[in-house]
Amino acid sequence: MNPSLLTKEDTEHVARLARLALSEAEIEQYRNDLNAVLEVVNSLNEVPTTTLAVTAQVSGLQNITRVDAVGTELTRAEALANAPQNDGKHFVVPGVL
Amino acid sequence: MSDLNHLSLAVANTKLKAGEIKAGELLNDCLAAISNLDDNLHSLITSAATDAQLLAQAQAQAEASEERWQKGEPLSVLDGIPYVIKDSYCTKDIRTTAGSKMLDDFIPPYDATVVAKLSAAGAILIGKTNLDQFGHGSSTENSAYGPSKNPWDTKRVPGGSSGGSAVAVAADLCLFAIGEDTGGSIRQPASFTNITGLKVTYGRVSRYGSIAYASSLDTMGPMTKTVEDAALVLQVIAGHDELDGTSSFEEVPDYTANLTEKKSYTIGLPQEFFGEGVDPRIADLIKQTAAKLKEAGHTIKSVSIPVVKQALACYYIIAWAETSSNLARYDGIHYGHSVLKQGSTNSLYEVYAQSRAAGFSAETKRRIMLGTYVLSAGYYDAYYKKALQVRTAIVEGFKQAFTEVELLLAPVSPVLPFEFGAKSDPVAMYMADIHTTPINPAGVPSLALPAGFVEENGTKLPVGMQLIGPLFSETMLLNLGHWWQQLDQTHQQKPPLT
Repeated sequence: MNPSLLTKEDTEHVARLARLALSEAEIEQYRNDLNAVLEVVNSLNEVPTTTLAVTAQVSGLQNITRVDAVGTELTRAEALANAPQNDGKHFVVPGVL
Repeated sequence: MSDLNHLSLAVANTKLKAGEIKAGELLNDCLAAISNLDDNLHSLITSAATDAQLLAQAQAQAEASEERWQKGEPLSVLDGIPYVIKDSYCTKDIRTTAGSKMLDDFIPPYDATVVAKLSAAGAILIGKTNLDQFGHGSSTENSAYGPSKNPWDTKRVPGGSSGGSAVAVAADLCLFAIGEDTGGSIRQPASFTNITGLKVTYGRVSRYGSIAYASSLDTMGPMTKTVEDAALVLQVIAGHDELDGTSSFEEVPDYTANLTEKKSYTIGLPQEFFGEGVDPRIADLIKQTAAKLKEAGHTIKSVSIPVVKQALACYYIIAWAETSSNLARYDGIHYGHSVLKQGSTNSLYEVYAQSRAAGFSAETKRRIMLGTYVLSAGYYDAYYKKALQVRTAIVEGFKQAFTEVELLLAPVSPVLPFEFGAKSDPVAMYMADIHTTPINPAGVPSLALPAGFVEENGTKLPVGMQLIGPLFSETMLLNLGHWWQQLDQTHQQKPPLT
């Protein structure tokens, strides 16, 4: 692991990936926070892992499926009830293209 | 009769069965306690004492419960028992905020499975408790609604993220609570407030309807006045759920059948939990507990799990990564805080970015950014993949320890309940989690219960201990914990409330 410190550009890139609108001052604040916190996790380097498999989850379960049948679902009204903009039938969104 | 809110669940059930008390009386006493104390303690975001809809629901449930008890047909041991639940659990038609501005006006159209099970068992919901938003924190200082106060010293935090649930139980505002533990969020507040809290085996209780923090780490569990009460609640909420693909098919045992059986266990003290960074007064208290256990016939051994030292880093990388993914759904389009509500005509990207920036707190944004970073191209292998490999080592580390001993005894927190603002530096706050976080990546269960008090500046501050066992060993942990609470009365002490 090469823990290079985040630059302003790195931080802006992460903010963009995370869809977070941040001011210049906030970018600088988070840049410092992230660098300080990432130092703490550098201790992971101390564990030899070359022969270790990854463990993504510990349930021991795989490929849990359900029957592809219609059950009790939300009504349209229920699904739209919390929507900031809807026309009674759809979620209204700004243009994607 | 009044002050029925001080009863434990088990005792209340006995009195309901005997016809000595009624569900309506229990409800009223809890509501009175909330009215008297919660303006100060602030454990609840939504409360039946002030929310007409929740009150009406609770009163109707109490009436129905009384009828069932009269006929001698209770739905379960929990019938008529008032409880509160962390505001990260969806409750149909009742506002659910996850402690965040992002969900300030969110009304779920469905119940979490845990809520549905408790309702079917006759338990009566009287409040949604305060929390660090989305589970991000160990003090409730990251709540958008203000922190909750520790009833043992109101200048101090109650712990988190299930701080509100802990306060409500400690202050007898209810008879039990449901919390959620991803990296210690049930155990640490339980330890800070002198109550009992159970972090179950991953998959033991359904996560359906629980607003996700880290999907491979989140566990749902009871926070109670006694270990016996925790067993009674677990009995109702445990079990496979079709709606949760990670829910375990492991059979649910009878958690109360052998609760009072006196057994002798071989208990390990993991060295890494007693070293540098731990308040020596806390370490001493836990070692004294070990000595008492030895006197009573258990075997105490020292064990070592070296990888525990890297467990905090492993936990945080996984948790940040998973929360950055889980919180991507809050996009200002389907529900939640949105600039569209203010008539924004901005681009799609701007709607996302501005809604999210406004809805999330600084700490939550920090975690989202950390998670995004460790998953991003160029850094994924070095951080996230590495953490998943270390996770394998942690799973193996606990498995190895459990070949030497049956369970582990350790402190829950390296520090005493701290004052508000004392851990405003994010690194300091994260470091306070070193004892709870190693457990979650392994998925093993841990029961936190009161061990004693440390006095600081004339104030008694609670110190909890945790009993950690192999996967699905809740029966053993509850058995030893219950036995301990017959021997030791620390858990019966109540905070000095006026």
